Amino acid sequence: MGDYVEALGLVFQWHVLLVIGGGTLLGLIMGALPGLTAAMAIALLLPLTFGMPPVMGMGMLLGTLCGAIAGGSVSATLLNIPGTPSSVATTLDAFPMARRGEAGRALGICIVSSFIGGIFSAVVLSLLAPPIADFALRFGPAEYFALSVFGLVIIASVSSKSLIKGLVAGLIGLLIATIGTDPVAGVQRYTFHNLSLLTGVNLLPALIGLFAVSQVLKDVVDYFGPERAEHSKNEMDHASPRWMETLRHWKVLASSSVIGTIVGAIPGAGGSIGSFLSYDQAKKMSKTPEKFGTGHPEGIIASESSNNALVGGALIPMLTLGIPGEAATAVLMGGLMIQGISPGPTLFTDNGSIIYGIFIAFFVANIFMLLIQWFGIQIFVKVLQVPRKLLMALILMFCVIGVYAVDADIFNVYLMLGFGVLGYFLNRYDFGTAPVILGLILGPIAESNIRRALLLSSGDWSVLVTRPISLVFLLVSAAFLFFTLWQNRRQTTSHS
Amino acid sequence: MVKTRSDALFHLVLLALAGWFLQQAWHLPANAAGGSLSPAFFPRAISSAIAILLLISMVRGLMAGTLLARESSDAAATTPRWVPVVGWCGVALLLVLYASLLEPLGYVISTALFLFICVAMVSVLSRQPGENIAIGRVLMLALFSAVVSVAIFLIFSVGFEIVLPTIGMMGV
Amino acid sequence: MKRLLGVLGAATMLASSMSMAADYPSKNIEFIVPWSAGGGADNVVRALQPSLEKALGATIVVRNLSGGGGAVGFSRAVASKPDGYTVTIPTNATFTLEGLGNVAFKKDDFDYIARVLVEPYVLAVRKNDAWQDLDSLSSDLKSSGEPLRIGASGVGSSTHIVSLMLGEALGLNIEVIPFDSGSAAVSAAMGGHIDGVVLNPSEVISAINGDRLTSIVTTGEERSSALPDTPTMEESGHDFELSQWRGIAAPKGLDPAIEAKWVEAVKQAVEDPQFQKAAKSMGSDISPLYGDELDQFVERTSKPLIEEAKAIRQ
Repeated sequence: MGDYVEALGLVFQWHVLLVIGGGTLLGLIMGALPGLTAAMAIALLLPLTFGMPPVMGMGMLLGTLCGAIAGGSVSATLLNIPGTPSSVATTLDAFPMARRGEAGRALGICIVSSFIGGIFSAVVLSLLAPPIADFALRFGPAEYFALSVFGLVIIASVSSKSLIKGLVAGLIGLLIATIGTDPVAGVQRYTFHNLSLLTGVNLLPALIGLFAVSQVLKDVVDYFGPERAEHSKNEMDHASPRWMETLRHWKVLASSSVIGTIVGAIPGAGGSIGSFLSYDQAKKMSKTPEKFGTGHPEGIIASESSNNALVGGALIPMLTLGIPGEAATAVLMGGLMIQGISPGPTLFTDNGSIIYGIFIAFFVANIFMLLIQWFGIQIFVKVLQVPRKLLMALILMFCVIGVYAVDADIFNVYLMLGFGVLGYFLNRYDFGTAPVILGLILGPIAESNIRRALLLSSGDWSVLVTRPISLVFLLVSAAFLFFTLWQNRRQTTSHS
Repeated sequence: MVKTRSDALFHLVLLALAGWFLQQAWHLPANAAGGSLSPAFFPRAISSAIAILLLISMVRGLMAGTLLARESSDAAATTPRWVPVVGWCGVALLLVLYASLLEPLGYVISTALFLFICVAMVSVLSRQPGENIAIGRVLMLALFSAVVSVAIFLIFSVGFEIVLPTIGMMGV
Repeated sequence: MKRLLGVLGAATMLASSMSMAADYPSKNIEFIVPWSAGGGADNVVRALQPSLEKALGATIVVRNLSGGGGAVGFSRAVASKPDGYTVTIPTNATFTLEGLGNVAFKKDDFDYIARVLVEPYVLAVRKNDAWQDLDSLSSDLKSSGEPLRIGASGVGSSTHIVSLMLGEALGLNIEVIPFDSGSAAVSAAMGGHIDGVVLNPSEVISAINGDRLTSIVTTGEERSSALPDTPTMEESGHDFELSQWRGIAAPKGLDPAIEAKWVEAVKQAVEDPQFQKAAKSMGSDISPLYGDELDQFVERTSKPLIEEAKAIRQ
């Protein structure tokens, strides 16, 4: 208790609050630009934290992380550019809603859902971190494989138009994911001695190509089409946080926040698929599953609350076990270590006031995220008032330099263009691009873990069903697959 | 849009790609250490599955009559049909040029050129008959392209410390 | 005439290189980190950055070029001008990449300026009452006949190679399971899915302090300051010494005058208390080495790593 009081004192000083707010703002801006990731934003601010006390420095970096995740949803909503894999699910409903002239509403729902998801995960982080970390440790290769199978089942759920075509798209993602050095034997696959492909296809160029570039290519065609007249009138709905509309779907909010936090805590897998899992879950629980993918508020709420809950979830194994789940938390952990603090169980006993200070700073960062977006939403939607032909050129420019900035590797830019063309045709012939991303994310997890599991069991496949968590995931996957097929069938029969 | 049997064509393109991946996978080592799966297992399994599903999809499309259906042409369209195709190819080509000139010309020059040509091309293609190209608007566009590329360069390189390609003259 | 021209040419070259060295550094220095932000190497560079900038009197721009597990960044560094404005952070990965044969550069394509940090490899195993130290571990494994399943941080990584080398040196049946990262391997070991890991102390220190893993032996010259109670291989009676290291290198052909400036700067930077604190919490030991001693170290460390990596490739 004394630690908490001391921690409050560490956070609630005007200069500490100021840097947390500043970090959040910078994160928001960088997160909204394609290609610039949360990890890059944190790495940029890292040197500034050296001279700061630990809680102040970590507060700023946590603000940056929250801001970057939230910023990614702004560009996902307005321009169909998911800044991170976790905002891909947001594009599925927020972008169609924004396209039909309700950008303010879509962003308003995003803001409220993100805030609630973030605060929920902050509560869980401060109360339940150790037991959740123990649960995360029970994930071995077999469990990771089962989790990825569970994730792949979602392909059926996000391919709305044709199940077979959706599966093809998902498999294309899985196939592309095999490019690179094979994770277990070290054999080169489809790399053709290209250094940039040694560690596989970079996710970011694929993401930006499949979503943003393909969308612009479509817009170019539409620009000359008969609907051109409609584009010129830039009607804008009222842009403000939609509290009541969001809170009305409290069930979706609650389940997505829980899924986001727990899945986020599983290192390596969680970050990217949590929002997909929540989206899928919301669709299954919904009375109107057929509206998903057309600009349905429940879809936005599910993805957004979950994607900000992931942040708190990802901090759990980092702080309690010293295991960073993905790039952004890895930089954050680097920041802690440079401060002279090693994360792990001893952090709670040796540096009580600091760890509680970090928890409180995370709450504060979420509040700043809400406030900045609350004021910023009016400015964000102005983006759509830029004349369309200028906007298309600007988006393409940002995509090119954003992807170039990832590794300063021009190869990634060409890769992005290739994915852009592929994505354009996949969308045009109803294959869809979201399944490709799922395949790309889950492919390496599935393949490397099944091979590791079999190495450990000397080739005995029964490990997949003798281990309880793995068995549960596989059974639930099978049940969900049948449920989705049944839901689809009911939908198509009711249509005809 | 242009009339093509393009759904079928796209299936065939994907089928060819899957076939190529499968053929390449045949050169990968298929022996696995320790009873696990070989490096070739996943590429082979996935590309075969894609090929099979594509064939099923084509058969179903044939039966439903959607596969070979010609796309409806927009009778109401005021612009000739070739315009969107040219616009699409133009933008795609411009992107490739932009990427290839990014490093030799540096960020600022290549970006200013890209923005200018991209917007100009779309404007010219979407021009209504009888509309004139005003010299003032051309100059405005040139100014806009230059200002945007310089501003973004400064924000990225000074603000975000991201190294963008330069040609080493006057800091750009 | 020809000779005169030659002398003149040499003189102007010398003069220009002297003037270059004299006003070095006159622009920003690019520090290529061949891994993404947040990796071990990146943390080191970012911790060094402020004090190096102060000592050199120039801005250092950190560039993360993370493709190909280090291959892209190192290749880019080798291809740049050896004018001192491009440097990179050599580690054992520089050697294993050469051994695995996926890259065009060799270890001799670099001018090694300094070694800054070393950290040994540590064999740490999951909690098991029969595995308290090296003796109990090897006698238990010999009586059970089971292999020791060791997680490494990636296929062909230096931890993978050192795991195999340790198995040979200790006479243990070590089976290496490559993971996607060191932290993934640690979490698998903590969860009891594998028997242990061979990694650097920075990656396992949390797990060891939290009493989830037991450190058995380290491979350093001396005991690691992060794990003062864990014996080295030499102490345990095995002739085996190999450490991970992080330093600063430039492409081959660096002007000795510029190199001298760097050495001075590094000497100052390692004295910085902020950097010392960071190194300590990262589990690394500050152990600077320059000039001929450094070249000998590079020779001694790279040889077995390159050979063993070549063997994996086959």
